[in-house]
Amino acid sequence: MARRVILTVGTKRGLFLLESGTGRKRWTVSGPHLKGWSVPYAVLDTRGTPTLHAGASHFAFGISLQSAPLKSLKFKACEKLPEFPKLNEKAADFAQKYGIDQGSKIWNITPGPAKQKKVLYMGTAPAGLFRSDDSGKSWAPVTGLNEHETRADWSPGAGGQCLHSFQIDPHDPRRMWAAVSAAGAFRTDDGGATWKPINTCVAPYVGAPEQTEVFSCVHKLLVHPTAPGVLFQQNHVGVYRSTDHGDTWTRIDAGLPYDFGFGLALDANDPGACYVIPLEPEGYSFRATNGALAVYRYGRGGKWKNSSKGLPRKHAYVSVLRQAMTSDALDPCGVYFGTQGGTVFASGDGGASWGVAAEYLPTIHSVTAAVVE
Amino acid sequence: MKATLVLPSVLRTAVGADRIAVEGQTVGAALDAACAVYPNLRRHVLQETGALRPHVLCLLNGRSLPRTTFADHALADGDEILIHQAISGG
Repeated sequence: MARRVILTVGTKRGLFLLESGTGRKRWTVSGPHLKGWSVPYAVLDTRGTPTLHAGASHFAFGISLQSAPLKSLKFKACEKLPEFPKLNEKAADFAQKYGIDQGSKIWNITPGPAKQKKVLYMGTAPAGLFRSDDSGKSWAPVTGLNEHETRADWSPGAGGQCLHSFQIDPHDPRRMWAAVSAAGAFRTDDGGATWKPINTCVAPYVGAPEQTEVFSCVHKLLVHPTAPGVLFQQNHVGVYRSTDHGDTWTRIDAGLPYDFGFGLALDANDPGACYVIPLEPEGYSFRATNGALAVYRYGRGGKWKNSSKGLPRKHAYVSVLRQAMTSDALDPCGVYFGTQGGTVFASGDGGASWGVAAEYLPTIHSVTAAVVE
Repeated sequence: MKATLVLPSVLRTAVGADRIAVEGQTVGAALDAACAVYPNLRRHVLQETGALRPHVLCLLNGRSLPRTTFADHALADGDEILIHQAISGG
């Protein structure tokens, strides 16, 4: 069977699936699936029978984790969803003061190592990490992180206190990374037993606690799928690259119109490259493109290149959330993002040109990509 | 008493059913019986204290039950317990 690219698009009103051949120019759309639910994050696990996992939220009925084979789309809910961490008093007071959502949410579901087909990880709000060894039927807290000694200083970001990014080292599955807003990045080298903050050389956010290692408002963190030790992060304050597993970070946002943004994507074929969408940090409530929707690619010579052919250049004031940008592993890589206005943009040529894959969807929370046979 | 618990369609996949045959002397007992069979029902309808979640309403034969005493209402054979979400707008 020919290979297909599947985009899972989590929205304010359900889950949508976009499908294309490897040309990635023409897309078919199905959905909404999980009708009536808000879907902050969904992913297609391709390690065995392709299976969808979706975090779902409902204003009255709370949260649910639902999974379905891609073929049948018959969703079934996890019956042993764990209790998520609670905000401590300091974080709750901060959230209350600034009107920040204190509710529970599933921010991330990550398939485990390729050889551990039943292992899944889940990142939550309030910030927590959970591991399943039975394909999501039951979950155990990763206490080394959830009860980290720095937790008292983890602050809620504007989107809540969330563990949004989780990455597994493709070369050593005992090494993993997690990123929490607003605390920073963490790494384990022992399979999750112990974690250390890795925010050296990263700028603190305004008002960050002092005398602590958790001063960073990381918005998105990704590990390169083929280059050992290479990571990127889009932070509230800058864009960074690391070549030593996150021990140190080099700021690379010089040349961008703004250092602020949420989305981040990598090119599996080029460990020196990343994609971001700079957003104008005007005031504290308006985070959008400044009229032109622009993707920037970081590449050769440490330079940023505006890679926006095909994107709207005028009167485009849109936002892209942190989970709403992704890439696939093909060559050239596909890059994808969804806007809060409900448009999914797709590039099948590494960002050289863009087209609309879907439009008029509900507010898009997340976009993830997978290649299936 | 034998009654029917009716859930909103949005809960069909989350709970595993949207019409559940229940037995109990009261609404609370019937809900408890249903929660024993469908573990996710409690998460989506009730708080840890046993109170209804905010924005969730319980109706018996089409009549809204008081939030503080909904569980105590006696059931008769053939009753219909309806779980409903808040609706706003207009």
